[in-house]
Amino acid sequence: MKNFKRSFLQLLTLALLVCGASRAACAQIHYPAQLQIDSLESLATRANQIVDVNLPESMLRLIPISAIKSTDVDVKDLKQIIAGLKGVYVKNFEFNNEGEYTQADIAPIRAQLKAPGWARFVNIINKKEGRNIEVYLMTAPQGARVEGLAILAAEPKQLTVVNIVGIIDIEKLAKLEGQFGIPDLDLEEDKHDEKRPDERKPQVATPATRKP
Amino acid sequence: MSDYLWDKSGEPDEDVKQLEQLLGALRYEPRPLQLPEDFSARAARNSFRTQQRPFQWQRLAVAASLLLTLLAGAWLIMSQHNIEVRREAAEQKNVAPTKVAAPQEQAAHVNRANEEFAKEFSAAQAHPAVSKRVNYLRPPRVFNRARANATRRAPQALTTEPQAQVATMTEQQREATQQLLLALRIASAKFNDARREMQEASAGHKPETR
Repeated sequence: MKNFKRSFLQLLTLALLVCGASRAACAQIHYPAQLQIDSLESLATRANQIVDVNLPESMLRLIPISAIKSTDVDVKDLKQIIAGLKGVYVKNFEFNNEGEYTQADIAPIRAQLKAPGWARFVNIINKKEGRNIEVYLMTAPQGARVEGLAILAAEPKQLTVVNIVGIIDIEKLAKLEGQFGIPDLDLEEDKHDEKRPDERKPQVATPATRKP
Repeated sequence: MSDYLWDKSGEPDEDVKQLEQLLGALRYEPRPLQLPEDFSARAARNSFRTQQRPFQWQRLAVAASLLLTLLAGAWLIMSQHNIEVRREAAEQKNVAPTKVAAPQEQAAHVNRANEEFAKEFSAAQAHPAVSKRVNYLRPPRVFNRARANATRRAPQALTTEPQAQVATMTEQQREATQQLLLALRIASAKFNDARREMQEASAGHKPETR
């Protein structure tokens, strides 16, 4: 009887552990290419303008890809890009003055990008303009498929961190700038605006843009 | 040739005698069981239990794998269900609302039917000989089509909740799409910045690359 009780308790503990683990696994799938960029939240108090996009896979699934239509451009590339995405996270801070953020603020993100799988694709240091842009790619162990992209753009008055998780064609991503703007989605955006997006004033109407 | 090997009578052969002598040391000798002095029943039982323990873990492993299989199955079913729910929600906005008679019309229809039945009932009671034979103890069932339709379609047509759900869903989709396009635009712009500067650097211009 004693033995039966003991084995029953062991089985119950095991079942509870298994339940907890499976529940945790179901709650959120963590992809290796996903970075923890929440450490940058502290910069929000000092920034003048913030763009914070946080689109996990569950949100991306809501997007009706077939509903994206454009009269002036072909949206095939855009649709292909969206279809492979597992998560999109962007933090863009614009400051009034220089030196509002330090390298220590970006250090936790750089540390994550040293993990195996990530490779620095480009590192541009423009000393005259005080600009540093780093592009990191995470490629699949077999084949030349890009499974994650991270961009760290540190400018004197601007800091941008982009983390795209999922299969992405960087050539198609590069083509999006200037070509597409915002496709015709009944959004209150000027789709013929050929200005570079980062040069424009961030959209006040966009829910992802906020002022502290 | 003697019968020694058959019934031990007569004279045995020399080689048989020699063999008997050699193998005689191994002959069976009845004697009581002698246990060793350091033997204890508890130690023996414990040693037997330790042999059983791996079997307990095997049982646990089998139970855990069964449990895992069940959980995985449940999870798969749940995820499939969620996908279907999302698909249905997405399709809902394309489905036109079903036309159902207003509750007032339905009530009027039922009242008319009841009045007709009451008239027939009173007429039959007044002229029992003329009327056809009917079992009045159990009045005939009047099939109220409008009420049946109303009860069947009420969750979809008479409540405003699905429309509200569609509205929120659309709003969510719109927000998600806006955010995604903004994010892709920023990513594309920054990526192209890096590319441009890279090209400038390779052409021998100002920025330093490594």
